[in-house]
Amino acid sequence: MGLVLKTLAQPAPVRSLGVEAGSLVFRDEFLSPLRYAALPVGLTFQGFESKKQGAANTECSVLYGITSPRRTLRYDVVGALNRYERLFRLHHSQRATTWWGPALSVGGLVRLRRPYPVGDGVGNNFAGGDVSLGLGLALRGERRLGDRALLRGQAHLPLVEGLLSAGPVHPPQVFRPRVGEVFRTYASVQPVWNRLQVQSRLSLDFGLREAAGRRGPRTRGWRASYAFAFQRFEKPVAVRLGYSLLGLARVF
Amino acid sequence: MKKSLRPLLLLLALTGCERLLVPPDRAAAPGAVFETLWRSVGEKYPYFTLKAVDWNAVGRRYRAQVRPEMTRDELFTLLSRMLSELQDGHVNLTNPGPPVRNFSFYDSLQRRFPVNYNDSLVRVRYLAGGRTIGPFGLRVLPDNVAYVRCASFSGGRWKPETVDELFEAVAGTKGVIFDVRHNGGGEVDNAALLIGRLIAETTTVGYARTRNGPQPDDFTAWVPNVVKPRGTPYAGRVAVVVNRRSYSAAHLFAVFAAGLPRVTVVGGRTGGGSGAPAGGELPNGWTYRYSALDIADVRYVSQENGLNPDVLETLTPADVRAGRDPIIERARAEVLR
Repeated sequence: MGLVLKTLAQPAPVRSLGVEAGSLVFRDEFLSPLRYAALPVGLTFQGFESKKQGAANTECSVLYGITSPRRTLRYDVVGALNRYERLFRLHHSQRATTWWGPALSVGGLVRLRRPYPVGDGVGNNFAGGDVSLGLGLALRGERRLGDRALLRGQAHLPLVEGLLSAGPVHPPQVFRPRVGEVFRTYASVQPVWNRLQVQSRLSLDFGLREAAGRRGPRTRGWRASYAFAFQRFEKPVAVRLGYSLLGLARVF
Repeated sequence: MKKSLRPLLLLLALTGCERLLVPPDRAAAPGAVFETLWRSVGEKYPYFTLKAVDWNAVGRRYRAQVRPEMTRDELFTLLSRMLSELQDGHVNLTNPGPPVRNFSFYDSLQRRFPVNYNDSLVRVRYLAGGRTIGPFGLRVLPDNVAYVRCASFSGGRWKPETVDELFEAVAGTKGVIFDVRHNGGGEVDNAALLIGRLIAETTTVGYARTRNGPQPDDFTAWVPNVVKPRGTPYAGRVAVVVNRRSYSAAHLFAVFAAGLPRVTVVGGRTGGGSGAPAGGELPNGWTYRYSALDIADVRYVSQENGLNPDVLETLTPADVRAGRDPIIERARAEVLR
């Protein structure tokens, strides 16, 4: 029996590191009424661990995108995300090779966005960072395709988030407000209708094989993935951002 | 279809629709362009009360002149006139082209003010035989007073080592004159670098705040503008020489230095420009800039309209013909007091 079955039956962490590229669009009403587009490329680390009652996900990514039109945004979009969440199954169907179903997600993220300096280098957009802890719903599916491949999909929607978020960044260089001041200003609890964030990822692990690791057998192989995210914030400024990314990663 | 594949298909349905969820740009008709600019400036500009500008009334007056059939040129002129009501050199409107057009109120700031600067006079009388250190012209005058000409704070952030070299060169002088006349500003960090060499301990040199609500006086709390010392502070007296074209970062250098002991500001009223500019883009692709930050001195007084010097002095054409700059001479006297 291949390792995939073993993974489902005997949970073991699976990690991957790879590159992603795709399409990103956003509108930041504080900056401009225009819709900006970018071709983002980035690095993504993912960690997945099956738990008895659900799953644990870790994702760290850095995205870079050259924006257009470039009249206002003289610098490019750079964002970094670090997310950890635990999924607790609400209902699932499990057979030897498959489980899927809704889950309760509990997790948090740290996200950084670079300001888009305009003119004399003063940013004028929703930038800085978020720190959030949320509770939401998730949908997860996993299916083995033969002995050496695994199809996995997941989508989740935070329903309520405790949020520390920076607002528009335009104070200049030496007069930069202290980070604490900014974040305190925008500390809030945001329900889904104020802060919608939909994320989904579909991945195909292939060429899976068992290999010796320092702490026992590990899964090795490749992962092709498709990730989608959409965010809609109303406060502190109205922002819409969505992206689709195709990725290729090494499972190790 | 196997039931187990349905959730995966549902996931696929969620993907790839970012361009639908972030809809395309709205129409760029003259009315939409006008409203975007008027609303954006109205929500973010910090000096309506200080400048006694009723932006709603301005909007009503100019909105009545917007016509759907007006040309881009006509619209540009109309919007420029509306922005000029703010009398702010940090307010711009730019059409990247074609044709390229740019509106700036900066040059209008000098109307009704004496020039108070002659570059040839400075070069021949005060800088000849001196040296250049990075962006600074330096000459130690015969009475052991250092004259430092600083024509701009732009061109990127200075290396701190360059400022250190300047202060090493003036160490031991009785006083130093920083001439920032006709200095249109640039990086405020560069002003802070100079201030950092004049103080012995971390010093609050002013305060800053931004708009945070729809009303003209909706502001965040004041945030201190703090400068850290660097190296051994200059021991002598300091004069900062200014005129109406000392603008933005140069003006702020004078504002912040004026709050320090042993500093005297000499010359004409500065051009102001305390509001650090930010910008945005209009639906038709034009870009605009506005003052985004209200920066005040240590007394919480905004100097946006210009700093009145401690010692008012002027330069007349007769002075130029005589080969003498009374503003620098007065600054010399002040640092030798």
